Amino acid sequence: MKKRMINEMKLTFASDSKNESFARGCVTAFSAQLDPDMEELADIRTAVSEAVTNSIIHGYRGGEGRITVHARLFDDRSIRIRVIDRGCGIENIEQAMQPLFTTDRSGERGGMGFAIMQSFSDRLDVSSRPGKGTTVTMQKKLK
Amino acid sequence: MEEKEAILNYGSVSVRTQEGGELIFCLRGELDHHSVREIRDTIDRKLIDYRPLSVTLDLSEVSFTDSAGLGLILGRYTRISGYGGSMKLTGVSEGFMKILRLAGTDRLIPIEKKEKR
Repeated sequence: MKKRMINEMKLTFASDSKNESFARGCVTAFSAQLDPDMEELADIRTAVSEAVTNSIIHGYRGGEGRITVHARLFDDRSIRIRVIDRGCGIENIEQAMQPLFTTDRSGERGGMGFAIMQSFSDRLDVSSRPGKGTTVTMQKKLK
Repeated sequence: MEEKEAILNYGSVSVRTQEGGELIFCLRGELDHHSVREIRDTIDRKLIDYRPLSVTLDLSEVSFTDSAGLGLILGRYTRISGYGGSMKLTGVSEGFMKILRLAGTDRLIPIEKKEKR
């Protein structure tokens, strides 16, 4: 039987690092409708934070832009979260998704963003077009 | 070891000095790309001023982290190891441990259970 959407939310905000906390807080509050346990809630919070931070740092390279977070809840207790930016896009998605891959030379970023998103969700899809932007889709089924 | 009561507060991080020159940084609140900048600057200023050979990062009051917290730890570890010092972590939550394990950081940096003071 096909799963049915039971609720959705869409949030658009400026690409500003101050909004990382705001975005993960909103999605966490929204996903609480499915009554997740503490670990599931923490996983969602962390995965959203990673995706939004990616858009700010890599998508817009610290510059101006808009980020949209679109979340849907389904009747099989799953959640789908999309984080969409219209930034510079990713040239090589496969390379970017490799654990420890980073373009940062300062030693302050470990290149674990996508690995964390992958590990903290059941399914991760990344679509991107250079110059057009990136959409990260994460799905997680709750117990 | 007896502690000197020298605790300095800098917003999301406080610094405690122990006899023997060990520095203990107690981190507070949420560690993300936005908040780690201030914490990193505070820690790095102290590392430059004191060049401690033994450093502990106490994470027991950290309520959230993502890969920015991991980067903060790895960056400080690299810096401290670079001048011959050692660093350990204490008060690591289950959530934080999950991220450290994913990156293999738990095999690189000693993690101690927090002693009750």
